[in-house]
Amino acid sequence: MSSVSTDHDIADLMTVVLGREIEDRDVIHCGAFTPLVLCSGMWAMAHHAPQAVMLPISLTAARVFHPFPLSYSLLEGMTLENGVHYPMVDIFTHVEGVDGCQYEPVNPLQVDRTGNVNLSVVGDFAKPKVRGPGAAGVDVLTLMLHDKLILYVPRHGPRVLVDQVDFVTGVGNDPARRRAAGAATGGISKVVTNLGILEPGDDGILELTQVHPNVQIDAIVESTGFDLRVSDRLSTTPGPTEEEMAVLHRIDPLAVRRFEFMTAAQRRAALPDLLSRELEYFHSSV
Amino acid sequence: MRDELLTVRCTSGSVQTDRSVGMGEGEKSAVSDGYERQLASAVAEIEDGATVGVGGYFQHRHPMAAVRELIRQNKRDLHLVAPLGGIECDLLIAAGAVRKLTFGFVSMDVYGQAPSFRKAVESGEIEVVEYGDLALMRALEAAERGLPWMPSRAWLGSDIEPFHPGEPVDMGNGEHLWRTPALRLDWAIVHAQAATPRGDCVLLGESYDTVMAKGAKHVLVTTERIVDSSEILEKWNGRTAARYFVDAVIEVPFGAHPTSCYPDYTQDALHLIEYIESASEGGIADYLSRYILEDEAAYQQAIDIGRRRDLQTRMQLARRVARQYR
Repeated sequence: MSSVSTDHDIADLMTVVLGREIEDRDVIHCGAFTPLVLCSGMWAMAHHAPQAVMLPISLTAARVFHPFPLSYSLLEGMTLENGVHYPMVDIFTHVEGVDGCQYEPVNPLQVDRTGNVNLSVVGDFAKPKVRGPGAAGVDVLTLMLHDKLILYVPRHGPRVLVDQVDFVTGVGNDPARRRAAGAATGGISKVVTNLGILEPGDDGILELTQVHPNVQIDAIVESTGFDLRVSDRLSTTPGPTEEEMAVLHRIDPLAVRRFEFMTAAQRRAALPDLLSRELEYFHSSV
Repeated sequence: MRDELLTVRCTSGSVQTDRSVGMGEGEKSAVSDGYERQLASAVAEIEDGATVGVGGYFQHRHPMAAVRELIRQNKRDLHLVAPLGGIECDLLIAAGAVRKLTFGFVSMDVYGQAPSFRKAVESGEIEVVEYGDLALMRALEAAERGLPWMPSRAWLGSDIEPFHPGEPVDMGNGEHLWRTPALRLDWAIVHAQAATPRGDCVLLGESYDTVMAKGAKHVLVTTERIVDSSEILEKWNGRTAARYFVDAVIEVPFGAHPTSCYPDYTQDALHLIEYIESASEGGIADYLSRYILEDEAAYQQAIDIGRRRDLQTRMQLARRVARQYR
């Protein structure tokens, strides 16, 4: 087995950690502006899941069977040129129907101790303090996905990981709440953050199951807005290996994945440079 | 209006455009003296207070020329239906055209949160109805099928019930389903890659366009190029999204700008950055007067020819590169 890479950052680690969740023949969904998720999906298809199918809804309505390198401005064209056109209505019918979707990481506005997800509002619904982008698919995904509905949090902090969400957009893992709502299937499988991994225990409460390399447990507990239980099966996240990193560099040569860790203002400042680098890179590749 | 279908081909004089890419030459047999007037008269049919669904999604293939015309005509009190909204939604809100917004998701994604949407909702200026994407699709499908409602596995266990149409229904086996009432649009507006004079549309990378068009009372189509049905049969294997009749088909090249329109041009990132920075920093009035308020021809002229070429070049390059990875 390839040794752990000594040259990687948190974007690399989180991409690989997410991508390792994908199995061959999984159906992968990527929601709105989620470069990390897109990257993890393409990486998994190139690395160990050649028969996975990707639905990059953030880019367009298509099914992608072959991984290709990421960019910003070329992505939509490459997806539609390389994928099969697939109207959104069919995608949704599949989500609800038998084929479902096995893997969709979601970046929440808030997540609470039982895994309830908020993408809607902080404060009053009609006149909120913070208006989030909206449910998109989260109200449904928490009812549908049977194995891998993952929440990912690029900046682990007490305002994102809260004791109780201000508004439940998608129901989490509290068995009583789910039973009362007639929510027969679904739930959150993991929360992957820049510090570690949380998973629901038998009672549906999230607990710390993995710490990333060089992160202190205390730091994670302090950065969490609820009383975080540490699992008795706690382990350290294996860092990306040299071989995993080699595939990652091939799939995301311009490091688009790092955009996930920037503020919007930083992304706007960084985009013009990315736009010129990607034109250069892809011109030289044809 | 359906008895007198309005079809307008663009005259080349009013628009600078490089037509050498994409699906090939559109026919240039002009049947009008420019699309601006025709776009204006089609949009004039949309009344204040109408329920209007806008096609495309995120920053892709929104019917932006028609959106700009709605703003120029100072439409008010619209009930905007934006399943996966981006700049089209933010701009209509910024211009004060929207009273009520039905949406699944609104964001300027890489560029940031949609500034005018956030501001208008947080200040209570507009009424919002938040759907999930699936429930909104089913609500539009119910209208398309003439059904009063459709069932869906949406929203169960959430806090949405007081704020959302429909309700959970107990199926008697421990499972609930959400009863989603039909959402009937007065108008659907879509921008198609190509369309026949009758309104059969080629829609690639399709979001809610067809479902909205099929269930709406009226449909306005703008398109990159008007083509004959024979071209649809030859090039696209007859693959079109259609309803039998639409109200107007108007050829507006670059009509989705600054959003993308595969296979012709990518989204204009620099323009979208300019928009979001104007809208977030109190400069929306300047943006509107600089780009929108005059007329569509002025908008198209304001977009630098070098910028247009860049967007086309990127799309062509993407298509070439993609073939290596099939």
